[in-house]
Amino acid sequence: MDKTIEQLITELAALRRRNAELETAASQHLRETEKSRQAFLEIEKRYERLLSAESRLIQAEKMASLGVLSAGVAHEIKNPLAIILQGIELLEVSLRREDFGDVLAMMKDAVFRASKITKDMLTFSRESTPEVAEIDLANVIDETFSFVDHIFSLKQIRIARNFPHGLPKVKVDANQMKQVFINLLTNAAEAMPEGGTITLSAESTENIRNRKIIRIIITDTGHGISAEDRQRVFDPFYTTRKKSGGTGLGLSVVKGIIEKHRGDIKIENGACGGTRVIIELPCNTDESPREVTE
Amino acid sequence: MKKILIVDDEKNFCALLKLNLEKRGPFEVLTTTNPHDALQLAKENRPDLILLDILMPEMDGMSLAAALKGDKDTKDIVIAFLTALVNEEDVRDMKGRAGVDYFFSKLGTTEELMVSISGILS
Repeated sequence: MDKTIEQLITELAALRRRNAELETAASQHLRETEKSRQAFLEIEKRYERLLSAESRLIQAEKMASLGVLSAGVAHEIKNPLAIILQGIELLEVSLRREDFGDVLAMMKDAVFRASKITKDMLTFSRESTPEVAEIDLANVIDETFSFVDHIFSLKQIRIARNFPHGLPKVKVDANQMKQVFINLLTNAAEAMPEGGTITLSAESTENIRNRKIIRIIITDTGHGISAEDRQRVFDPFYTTRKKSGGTGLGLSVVKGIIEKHRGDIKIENGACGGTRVIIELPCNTDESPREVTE
Repeated sequence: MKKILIVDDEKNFCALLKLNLEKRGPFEVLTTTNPHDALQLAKENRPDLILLDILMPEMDGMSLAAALKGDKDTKDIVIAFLTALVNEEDVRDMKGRAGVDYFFSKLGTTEELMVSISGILS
């Protein structure tokens, strides 16, 4: 009997040892599996980055060709448009309005729309290198207000500005930045046909990569942005405002400029409705802007 | 009556702008599509204003403006570029280099052009 108990104890000890060995092996296996999973995720992430770099490279090549092409096309299209415009204007002073109603005005609008498309296309495709200087972004935004002020007061749009004192200066191309803010403020205004408030705020902070940045947030009280529009809103020629003459290039231009300044831009729905645009620009003045879009 | 000379290689544009300007203001408008004839026309007719296209196949507006500004008979005539070029910075640069005082977009309305011309000629 004692022998059987001893034998059982020995077997139990052996089983415990074996169990411990198996647990060690299992946890080793789990660690290796986890490592493999991490490695797989890393490979997947790098592959995505590679795809994205490839797609940006293709886009940059296309843009370079488009830049040359569009300068010529814009001029060649504008000349016949100018002839059509002159013809319409001659008819306007020669014909009785009651016979034609708004036909001539509609034709004229079409001419101006086509002209705007050629201009936007050229701006979009131009790969101009930013002429940078160290500037106070708040001043640039204030100057931008002077361009849009009259439109905003007509549309009953109020601007709330929340810029703390002593924001660090940033190394940017002031004119390109003005274009960014004009486009964004105009978009915000378009989203509020009944009027509303555009709030601009800025802060000096760090981004997720621990880089010192200036974050500018523009929030409107308009109708917000759908998930589909959010995905495609920076795509060239994608517009939600076709009827009101949008060419779908404004936000592409904005994104191009921000990226050339090594910044980031994203668009999301505001916490209390409306749309929120977040721009992050690096404060590191030693870092030159990108010469070409990557 | 004030005289205006339009120099543009687009024949139809010249014809229609001439009609538009003559309908709207007390102007005598001369046109030519050939920049080489423009200098002679300007000498003979002494217009008060020359509206000059920039991109023309035979001679560009910059060279013609330089020739007009370099000739004693035409150097005082006011020249304005009237162009379909879209990049305002480029045009501003050309305007400065050619000694031209004004530039107008071909895609502005005739009404806007009339206001500018009246301002220049008054």
